[in-house]
Amino acid sequence: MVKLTIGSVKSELQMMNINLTGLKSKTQTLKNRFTQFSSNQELTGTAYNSHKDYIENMQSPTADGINQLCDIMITSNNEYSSALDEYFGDVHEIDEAKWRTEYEGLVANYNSLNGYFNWFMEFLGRISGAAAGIKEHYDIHGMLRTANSLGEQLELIREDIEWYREHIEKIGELLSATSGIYIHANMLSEAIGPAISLLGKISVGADGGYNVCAVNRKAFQDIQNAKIMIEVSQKLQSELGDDYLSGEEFAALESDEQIKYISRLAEVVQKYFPSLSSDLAEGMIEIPLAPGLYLYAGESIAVDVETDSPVTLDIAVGKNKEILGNW
Amino acid sequence: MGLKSSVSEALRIKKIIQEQGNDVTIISVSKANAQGVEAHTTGEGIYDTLVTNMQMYSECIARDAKYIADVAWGFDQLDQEIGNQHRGN
Repeated sequence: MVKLTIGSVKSELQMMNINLTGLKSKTQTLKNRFTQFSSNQELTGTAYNSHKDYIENMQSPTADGINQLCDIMITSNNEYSSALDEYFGDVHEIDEAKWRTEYEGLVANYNSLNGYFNWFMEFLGRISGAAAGIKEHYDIHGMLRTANSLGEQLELIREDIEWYREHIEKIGELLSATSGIYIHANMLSEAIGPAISLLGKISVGADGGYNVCAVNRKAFQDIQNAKIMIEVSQKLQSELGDDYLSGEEFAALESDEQIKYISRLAEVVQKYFPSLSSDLAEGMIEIPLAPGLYLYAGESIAVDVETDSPVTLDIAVGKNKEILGNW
Repeated sequence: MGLKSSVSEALRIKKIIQEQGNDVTIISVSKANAQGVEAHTTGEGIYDTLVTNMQMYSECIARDAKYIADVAWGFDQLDQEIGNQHRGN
């Protein structure tokens, strides 16, 4: 059940963005200092050269990654805040459990009152059609006023029911609209964490050089790779626009439609990132599309949908080869 | 190039990096009253991880800046010893 106070969420997002903007500025300055140090020709010697290599290949990619993470997080936070405005600009708080209870209570009230209203109208109809001697015993005008009043009450309850129905429905729309907002930030964050952890473990040897093995260096290359994958993913989103699908939307397609969709994605990668096409075709990279949805290729190009019970959507290999043939 | 000049340059850069490094942190924010929105939980999680990571990163920057200073001082010592030997001769 969703429960959140709009103002406090927006305030949290705003504070995050202020801090992220500050951090972005600091890491940019730091990056500039690194560049200044690396390019300084006066500082030479084994120890200085080792430090320059360390700065260029480990510190700089990390600072770059943090810098970009700040940008992506700020954009994602703004998108989340805008989604709250779009779907719930008219309320201070979303309380799904309370709304559902209120909704069910109002529906029960409406049904009860409507039953009485129908009985009353039927009774009024019978009185109206009765003989004059019987009519005299009833205050017809008073009964009509009661009927009108009941009708007005029903209309008010119906409006309230409609308000709750719409807002409960909007909760689902909000969840859907925000589901992939942090996918790129998450990807970059997951690449930066191990790199920083490794920076903490790297030591300086007796010869003044940094002790870094080849395996360690991969963590810093992973940041670069994540940045490229994010760029591709963002390009796919902008090129496909409203046709860009969520994991659920993709899973709901017929298999021939899924193949058409994958083919479109592949065409965009080929057009804008030709150097990556072969990496993708060889299964060396996975491009994030939506939460739990990645474009990848092994023997075939496919999209993998992760669910609670992981299922790989099997796309006919023959069809995929047709797509591969166009690359 | 004299060693003295490389020492002063290294120390100048060390000072700048260390000053910056001491401040490459990001503070936590007050948590909003929010439940049930996956995006919110994910965003907060990424931010919290960043706060922790930047604390570690800041320590690495300070360590590296100190190392640059040590290297510079090492050169400075060497410079002085060479100078003394010349004077002794």
